Amino acid sequence: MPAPSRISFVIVIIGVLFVIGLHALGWLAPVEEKLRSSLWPVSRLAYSLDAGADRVRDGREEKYQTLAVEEARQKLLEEENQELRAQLDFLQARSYRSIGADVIGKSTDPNRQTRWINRGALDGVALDQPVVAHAGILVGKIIQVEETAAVVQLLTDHQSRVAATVANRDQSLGIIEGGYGISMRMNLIPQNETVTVGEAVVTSGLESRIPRGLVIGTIEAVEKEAYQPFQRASITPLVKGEKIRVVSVILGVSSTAPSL
Amino acid sequence: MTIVIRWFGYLAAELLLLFSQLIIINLLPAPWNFIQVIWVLAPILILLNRFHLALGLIVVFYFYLGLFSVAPFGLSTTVGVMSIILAERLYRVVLTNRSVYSAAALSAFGTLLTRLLTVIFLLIAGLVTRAEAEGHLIMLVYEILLNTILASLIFLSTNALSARFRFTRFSSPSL
Repeated sequence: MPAPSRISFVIVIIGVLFVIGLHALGWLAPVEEKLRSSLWPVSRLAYSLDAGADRVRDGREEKYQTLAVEEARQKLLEEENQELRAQLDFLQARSYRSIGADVIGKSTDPNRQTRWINRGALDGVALDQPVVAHAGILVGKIIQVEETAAVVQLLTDHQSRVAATVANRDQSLGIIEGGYGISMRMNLIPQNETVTVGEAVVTSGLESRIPRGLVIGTIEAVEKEAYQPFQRASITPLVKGEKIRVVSVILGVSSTAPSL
Repeated sequence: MTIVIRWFGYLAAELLLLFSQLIIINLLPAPWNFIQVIWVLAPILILLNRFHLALGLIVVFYFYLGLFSVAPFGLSTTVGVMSIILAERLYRVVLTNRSVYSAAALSAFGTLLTRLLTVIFLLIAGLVTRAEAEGHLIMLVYEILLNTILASLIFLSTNALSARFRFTRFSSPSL
């Protein structure tokens, strides 16, 4: 067989660049949406079967997760109650606008911890919105939005960064970073603050779209080196993001006037 | 009629590849989800002198995969096309014979090139840090290992069932 000519290579490369150009202009969006949605039924079924393998165990864990969330919330509220009663009243009066979503698949990047959900821009989903599971446990945030679908970056993704606070006396601030799907760490915790194993970690509210108080996990271990300006902690997540099937996207905070 | 059947076969092969990658392999636990099924099949097609088919399959495969990726659109397609072209050059210029070693080498080369080019692009674009790029390279070891083993196994099983691999392009009639 004769060697493929250079012309055929050039034609293919030009073709690929042409398609990329059409994508950049947005002209391919309807076709892409159709192609993507053609796979969702099968993808959702396969994902459900995969996640369903742990259904029995998840059922047992759910009780523990609910209790842990309640405990963490209780602790956070108690501390805030001591400091600012008015603020606590405001927090109690606050309600989130959210939308439920089914997880319909994983992204094709094997080193990324991301999930596709069946809600998109048409449903009000936007970048950086928090995604919660169970009784309000943060599992990730939105990093890509299409018309009818969106991508959730799980907290365990290596590019995930979420501002968090420990529910301790110092209300220690830090950044939660993922570690290739196998771990979660809280970095940049000030060295002079005391962080104890078992304490709850919640969102700090320093990010514009992520409200304060969404539970992330508990402190599993603390790494404190005398020569380092910050300490680090390993975090045990309260929910396994890899196995989630149903989530809620927090679209925003609809506030009512506090009845002071 | 034959042409229609042939194109139907190509379409079925492409759908099978996409289904394997997106539905089966994508949901497997690590490191099994690192398998790039296209780089298991493409070397075999190159050895069978079906380069244009391999090229066509790769273009469609990576285009469709790109729709489900969080990486910039077109990156995987561009990188895939560059890799298959260079893999074909490697086969014609360096390897030249049809053997299990060639299948393994082409699979390893294609996988390596695809991942390396992707990482280099992401680094240049500032989409990953150096530490994250190193994470990609750790994954590459598993990818190469798994793809190479699978490509070799497919070559050997095809060789056992068919005579299409049982000569080299440079074999002389006297041998």
